[in-house]
Amino acid sequence: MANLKKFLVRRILTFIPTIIGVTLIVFLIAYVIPADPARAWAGGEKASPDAIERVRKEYHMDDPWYEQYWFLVTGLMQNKIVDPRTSNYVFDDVGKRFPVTFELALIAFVFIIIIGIPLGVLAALKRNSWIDTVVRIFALTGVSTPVFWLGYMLIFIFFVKWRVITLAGFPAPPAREILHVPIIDSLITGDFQTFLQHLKRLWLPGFTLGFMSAGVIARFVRNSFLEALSSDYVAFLKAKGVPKLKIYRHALKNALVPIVTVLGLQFGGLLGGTPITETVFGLPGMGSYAIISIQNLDFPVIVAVTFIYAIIFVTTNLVVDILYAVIDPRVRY
Amino acid sequence: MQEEYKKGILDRLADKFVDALGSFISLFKKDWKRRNRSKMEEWKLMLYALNRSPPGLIGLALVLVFVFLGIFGPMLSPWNYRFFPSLYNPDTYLAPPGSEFTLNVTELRNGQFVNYVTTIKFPLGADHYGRDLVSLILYGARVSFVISIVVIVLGVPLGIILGLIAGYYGGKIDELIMRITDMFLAFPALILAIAFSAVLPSRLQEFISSHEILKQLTLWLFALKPQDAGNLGKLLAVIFAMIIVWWPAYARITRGSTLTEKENLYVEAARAIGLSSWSIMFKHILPNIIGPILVYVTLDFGGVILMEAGLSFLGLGATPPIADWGRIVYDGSQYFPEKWWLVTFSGFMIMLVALGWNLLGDTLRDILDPKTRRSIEFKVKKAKQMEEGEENA
Amino acid sequence: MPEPILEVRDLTVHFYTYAGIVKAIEKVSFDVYKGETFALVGETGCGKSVTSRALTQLIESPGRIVGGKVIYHRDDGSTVDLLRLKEEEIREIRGKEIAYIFQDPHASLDPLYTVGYQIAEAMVVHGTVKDWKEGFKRAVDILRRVLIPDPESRVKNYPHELSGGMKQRVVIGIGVSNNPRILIADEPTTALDVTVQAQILDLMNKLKEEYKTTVILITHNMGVVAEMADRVAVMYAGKIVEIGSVDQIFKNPLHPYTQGLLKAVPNPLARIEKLETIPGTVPNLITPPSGCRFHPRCPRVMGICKEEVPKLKEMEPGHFVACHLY
Repeated sequence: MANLKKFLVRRILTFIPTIIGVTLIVFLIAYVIPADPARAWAGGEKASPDAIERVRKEYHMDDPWYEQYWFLVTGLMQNKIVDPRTSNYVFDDVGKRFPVTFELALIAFVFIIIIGIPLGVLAALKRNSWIDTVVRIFALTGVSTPVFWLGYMLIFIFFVKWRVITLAGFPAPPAREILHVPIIDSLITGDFQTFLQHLKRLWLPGFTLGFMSAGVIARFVRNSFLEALSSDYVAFLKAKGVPKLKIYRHALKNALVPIVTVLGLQFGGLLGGTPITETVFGLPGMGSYAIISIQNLDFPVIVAVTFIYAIIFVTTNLVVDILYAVIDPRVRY
Repeated sequence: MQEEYKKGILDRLADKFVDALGSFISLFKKDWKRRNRSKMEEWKLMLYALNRSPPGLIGLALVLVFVFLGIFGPMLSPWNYRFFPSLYNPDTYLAPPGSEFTLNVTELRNGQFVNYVTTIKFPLGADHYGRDLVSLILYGARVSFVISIVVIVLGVPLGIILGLIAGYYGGKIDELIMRITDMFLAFPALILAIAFSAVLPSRLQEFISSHEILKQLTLWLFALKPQDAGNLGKLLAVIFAMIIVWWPAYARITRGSTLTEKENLYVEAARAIGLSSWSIMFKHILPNIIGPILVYVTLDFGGVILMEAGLSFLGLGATPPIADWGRIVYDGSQYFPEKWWLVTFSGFMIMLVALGWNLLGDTLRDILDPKTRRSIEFKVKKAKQMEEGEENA
Repeated sequence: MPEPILEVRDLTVHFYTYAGIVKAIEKVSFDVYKGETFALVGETGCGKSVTSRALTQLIESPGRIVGGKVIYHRDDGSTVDLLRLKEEEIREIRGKEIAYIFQDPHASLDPLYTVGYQIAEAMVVHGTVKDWKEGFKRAVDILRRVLIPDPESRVKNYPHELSGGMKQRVVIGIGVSNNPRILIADEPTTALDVTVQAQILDLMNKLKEEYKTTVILITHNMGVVAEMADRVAVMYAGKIVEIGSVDQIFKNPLHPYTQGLLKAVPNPLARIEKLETIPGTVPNLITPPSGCRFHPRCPRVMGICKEEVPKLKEMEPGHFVACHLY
């Protein structure tokens, strides 16, 4: 256990440079913009020189870039920076939208797992049959379909034709909040009404977002499972007289080692896809908020959002590492 | 049973193609064709294998159609993308597929107004300027084509070179390059591309406006009219952003293969006879690791086209009136689902093209993978034996 | 008269590959007697492993058992054709009454489970222990019996924490865990260091004495055969060419292939002047040579050898050979 702790601390320490690096990149590219955000923030073309000057001072815009970066990052961390556009604290704005994006990615992830893994296992068991071919075509179609297009086609079917989904607003969180992710909180507190409301709003966007990765995972599961099934220890298990289902369990557990890594990478990919999906389905999430902020040169928000994406991404990697160590005894902390 | 091993017309085509390719290379390198017989033979076998895979052939056909449209699309287009029929007949606004309208056009030609009447057909419908969707899709093919080529041609070699250097030299150089690479990879590519394409346009616009030749060249490449020179900044920003997010993956793949390849004796031998590091890297290591990288490239063409469409859909790439598939979907989405054709047809084009590249890449991977390769090779070798037997008889 | 435990008749296995039908073994027949060590020898690719696996239907696609019988004499005196059994019935025999040891101990064990789990599993799936708890307890005994030091803590080890020799001991332990009547050891020492090989062979001999097990040993190593086996069957290109006791085979080899094989390796039971090689290569089993499969390489080839497949003939009591010379 002590080993695990040490391992975690070491991993978290190596993540810090990554997070700093990512925010620095985003900050620097924002910094090189020739457009003057101060004027835009102070009220556009008609802004008075005084107002512009005030904005410049407030956001330390006349300081050298590294001081600006330091001011921005520390300010964001303590949530002391006010968004020039909405006049709220930046993390208050972003925090409101974060659960939507997280829930969306979570539901997409669940779709990936419940579609991708069974399909992959099925394709492996029925190797070279028509099922295998169908899974292959499904996977290739999945990676070739633009998320937004799929979204509109599904909206056409489920919203226009059958009227089974809604496209406006977002349901309220449950009465008691624990993790501040409504769909999880409502499950924990047993508030199934709220849970179903969230599920009803998010299942189609989640499916759309997960569609691409589900095929990728199915193909990957198929190949790893086949590789595990053709290994010597499976032959030996058979020779031991172990029943078929138990053999599949052994093989699946071995195949899981690479699958977990790819699933972790896919979670990052899902996050990347959230801006488009949120735009298509009108979800008030962090991704669509980032797009609006970019259009308005709202740099504090852009840096804050990338910061959060980077943290989620890095945490996912950490979880993958831990799962790895749990599944595979060969991995040492 | 034996019939299926016979050389088909496609196999003969493949023979001709490889022979022509050999002759072409021989133009630059003397005697290349004669000295690389076995290599050409191997290429032929790979093409035979491709000929025996229906998904691969479908993919190849889709890709060839896309390349054709990318080059000739704007020339085949019945209407220019800057011809706005709704100016002359308001009814053409979002006209449905299959409709036909009469236009009473007034145009300024050589300083004089010219009046004429013409009819316009909308096989796939019209957009909110009354423009024919078929023409827009043909112009959009050029935009997608050029962007994907430029991103791949600039991004992939950048990644390969950095990966080769990191893998070959190792040590501090490796550490530095790979840390930077990891930083880029530790982040959803689309988010990073969004950030870049949002902040780059104004700088690039300034740059392109002050270089007349570059401006003309870019306009020509994208088949744009001079009036759109002001929109080039955003287009170029998307290209730049995608190059920035595209190279790290290749740096990592190349570094990995270089590390394993470096251990081979021939590298040591090359070093022992005093070849320079650069010639070892590019003349000896690179040709040996390029196969799998090319498969990635094929698959990534689809990826680039999808990401470009995604960025334009978010309003970051081409701006109207430039015809861009992703942008057409975005504009069409304002009228969706009542005017369904804009979203449906242009999105479908994106999917078809991406699917073509993916089918082709997936098949190539099968052909290049030693595990699946043996069975395919056997079939094609059999085909060759049959052929030779026929000739002898 | 020794009592047979296994009678193999006309066992034929084909592999249906892209390149064509590989006739891996063709009409293989032999008897295995209770309590003996029976060795199958031959070059790599001669079909000895396939034969051993086909005995309990352990042939994977694209392979298929095309024909033959494997008559197994049970403890109660009844007989059963193992090739006729349904999947579930043969599974109950595998690992319980007929157990296997595979060649490569590094690959035979599932890397994700402790060795204790894998030993216990063999007993749990056959119901020879009440539950997993008893299985783990028995696993410690078994590890002790295969001479693994400190079995109480080793039982919790994962395969990667053990050396190759230790792993093979574990594999042998799994093999004998259910006290099988027949133990099929497929090249049990090939993947191990030379120093460890002798220890493993000693262990197998000791266990054989202890459990009164019948052993079928598959190997290409004549030294191992001389040390372990009571009777030997020599295989060439998917056919059995000679069967006899160890003494008969080593002192009076009848088939030209056996003679060549013995000249090609140091003979532990007879002095030879100089090692020789057998000219030619192992034939392609998609289109095997007609008649006797050895005829293209045989120094004493005759006209009939190309045309007729020789049958096994008994030359002296218990010594059979398939050759037109006799």
